Amino acid sequence: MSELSSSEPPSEPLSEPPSEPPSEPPSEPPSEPPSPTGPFVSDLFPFPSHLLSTQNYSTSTSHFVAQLNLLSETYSSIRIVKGDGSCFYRSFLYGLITILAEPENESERLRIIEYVQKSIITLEEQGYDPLIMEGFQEELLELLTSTIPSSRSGSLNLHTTLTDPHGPSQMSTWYCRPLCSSYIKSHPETFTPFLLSYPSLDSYCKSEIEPSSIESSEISIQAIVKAFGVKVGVEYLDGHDEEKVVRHVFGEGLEINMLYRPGHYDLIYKK
Amino acid sequence: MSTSARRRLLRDFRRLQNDPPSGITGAPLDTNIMLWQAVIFGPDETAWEGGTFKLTLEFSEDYPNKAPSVRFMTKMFHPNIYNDGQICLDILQNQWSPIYDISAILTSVQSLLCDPNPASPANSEASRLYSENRREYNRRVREIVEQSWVDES
Repeated sequence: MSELSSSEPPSEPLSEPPSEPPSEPPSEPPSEPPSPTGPFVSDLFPFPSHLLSTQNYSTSTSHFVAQLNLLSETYSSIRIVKGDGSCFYRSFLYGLITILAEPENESERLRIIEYVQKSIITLEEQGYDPLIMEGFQEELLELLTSTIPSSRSGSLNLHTTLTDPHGPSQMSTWYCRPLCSSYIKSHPETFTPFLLSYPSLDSYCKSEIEPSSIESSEISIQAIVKAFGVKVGVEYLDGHDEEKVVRHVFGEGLEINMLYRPGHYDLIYKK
Repeated sequence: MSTSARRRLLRDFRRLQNDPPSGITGAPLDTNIMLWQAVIFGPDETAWEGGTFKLTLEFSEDYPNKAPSVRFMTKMFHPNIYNDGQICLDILQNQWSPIYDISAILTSVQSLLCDPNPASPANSEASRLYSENRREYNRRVREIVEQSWVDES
């Protein structure tokens, strides 16, 4: 087995490029991505002190520390997500399921359950084998239906369920990928211009989205937020500018926030 | 407790029984659903015709999020198969996707037999003969095919 890198740079920005795309290499490697052997999603840690104490940021050669301090005006905690190629999808799913478990988001939870229930039909139309896909869909529905807005102790159980290495979140995390592919293939007018060297959307999705070890790209992020009807805000900790941090917002709806360090996504939470 | 991996393996098993791909059989051991034996028959009208090649597939509780470990038990001579039977095939490594069930894995291995990938040699001699001396390569493959009948007994 070859060792897989989870630190690919993001692909070219999609339709709404930021003023400073985060594609240039940073002035120094910002950090080692979280160990692929750590928990899938960590406990909640204080932000940014947890990163400052675990990463060797050099204040003299980069702006990472200044950027973290800027972000600390908005965000107060972080969950470190395993760096195994699925960090974006895992962050997305964890963020989504925990937000949907909040009582005030019940109508969104029901809407998304309905979307997931119907997803097999769309996937079948896009050429996916429904027999295989049902196995993944069932696990995601199990997560969505078992996380009924719950008592306070529920959130602890939810974290345990979502990080269980053999629980439903593993297959559900991957299921985000075909949902993403299926959205891309059913919106060729939007996505065909971003195919790069691939001859078709099918081959693009098969190589760049569906393999478990392939990192997300801005294309897959655009697709997944639209597919689920939610919003993902990404703060780009790129070390370029000590006076600002570029934030991308994808989609609209309930909001999940992530910190992007080149090659890796973690979940961050507002004060 | 029924894990995702076991549920999926049962699904794969039903699939393989109800809709078996041509030239492929496979089943879990009676005692352990995580360990399978399979046989791939060499495709007709190729040098591999008539061969019966045994494989084992070993699944972890991480299946289908992680690929199984697949290896030939029958001795092979092929550019992408190591001497110990391990297979160099992208979908079992960095292109793995849980979309591949046991039928799809075995079908891919079967097509690899006749369609080697010279870019990732696992057996340098087989690789060299395949590109430089196809006649000799085919002769060596025929030897392996005949050997596979002996292994059978």
